[in-house]
Amino acid sequence: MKYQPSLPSRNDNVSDEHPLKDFLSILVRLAALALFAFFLLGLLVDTVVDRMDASTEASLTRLLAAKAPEVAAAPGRGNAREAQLQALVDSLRSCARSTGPATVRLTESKVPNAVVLPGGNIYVFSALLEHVQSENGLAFVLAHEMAHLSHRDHLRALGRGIVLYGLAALLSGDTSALASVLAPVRQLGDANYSRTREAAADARALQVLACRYGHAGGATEFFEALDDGKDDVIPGSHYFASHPAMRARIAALRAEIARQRMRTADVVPLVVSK
Amino acid sequence: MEALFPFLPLLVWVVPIVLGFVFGQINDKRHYRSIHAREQAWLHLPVTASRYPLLPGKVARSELVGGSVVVSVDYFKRAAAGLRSIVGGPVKSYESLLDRAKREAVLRLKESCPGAHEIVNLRLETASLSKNARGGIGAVEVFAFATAIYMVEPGAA
Repeated sequence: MKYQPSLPSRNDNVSDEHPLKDFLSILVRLAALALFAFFLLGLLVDTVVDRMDASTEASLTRLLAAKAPEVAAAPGRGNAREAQLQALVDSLRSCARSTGPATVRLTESKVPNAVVLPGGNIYVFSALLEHVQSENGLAFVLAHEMAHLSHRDHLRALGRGIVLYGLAALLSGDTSALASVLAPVRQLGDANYSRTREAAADARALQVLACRYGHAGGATEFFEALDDGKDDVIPGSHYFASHPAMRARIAALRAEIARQRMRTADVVPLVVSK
Repeated sequence: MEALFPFLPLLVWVVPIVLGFVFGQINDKRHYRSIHAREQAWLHLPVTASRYPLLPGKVARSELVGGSVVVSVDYFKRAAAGLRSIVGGPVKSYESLLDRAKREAVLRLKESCPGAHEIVNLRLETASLSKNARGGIGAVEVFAFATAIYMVEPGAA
């Protein structure tokens, strides 16, 4: 046998296609699948939350209340202010037809904001008190947060968080890295969803305000204060990220006031405890 | 600017993949250029997996020769293989890594015995460094070993 030196004309062991093609096609297919699963499971969370009976909600609330972060009350005058806020929330209870617990906690912060955490906790950031002039304005914001509680929006957010975390763990086999990668994606995906939840909470708060004071004065006070241009963008405030744009919200509230022919009368000035 | 902060974790994920892709492609091309040139240069030295020499004549001497290479995979290829491991199918991103490693090992084997007339009994062994350990470096070792033959009178019938 004669040795005839030659090299093969082509290499069949390595595929010719661009390396990015394989990578991107799998990535896109997986992402589409994950988004679809997130959408479906999100609907499932909504269904479960909507159908949950009061006793289940109450036991969940008790379970989660123990986990809510304890914040140091604002020093000195904090306790008096917190009691004042709590009294206002309690006075809104019958109008809001709220049955579960609603505990107000005041925290020191430069961001004018208020959030609801599981367990019936309403956290009011101290800067919010500087952005409202009247008791009515403050009552609207508190009623908005109470509406989140009675709409069970905190449970929906919790459920969606668990779904996202589960999907991330399923895809990566690891919960740490991918979940943080998906966090911004979730914010984008959830923005539209939470806008509808915020609009619903606004509408409910308007009813509560009108019921408590007999008129709808002060409903747009807080948003107008934020919209006056002084605070362009306040990062971290949920009144900006996922809430409808300030002007759109003010317009929606005014339209609703006009549609329901609500009165607007003088507001009760707010005297913040010193 | 602050609005971009939530996307920082995404950046942590994307940057190594882009870097891995760029450097990995450059490295791939450069290595293949070297492999093609050296394979052409060493074409005169036959290598077979056969137990008997192709060349006629008397064997003067034979010796065990070897060539080994360790090649690491880049971050992009690893990410692509990671995605592939979810859905299954051919791991195309690792093909060039193993192809280059095997050919480089055989070239090093040839280069270790420049005076030989023929190489027989070629065997290839692969070993994965760090196996499946988390955060392992994901490198592969290919070891080629064979018998180099030295003829008494090369080419004589």
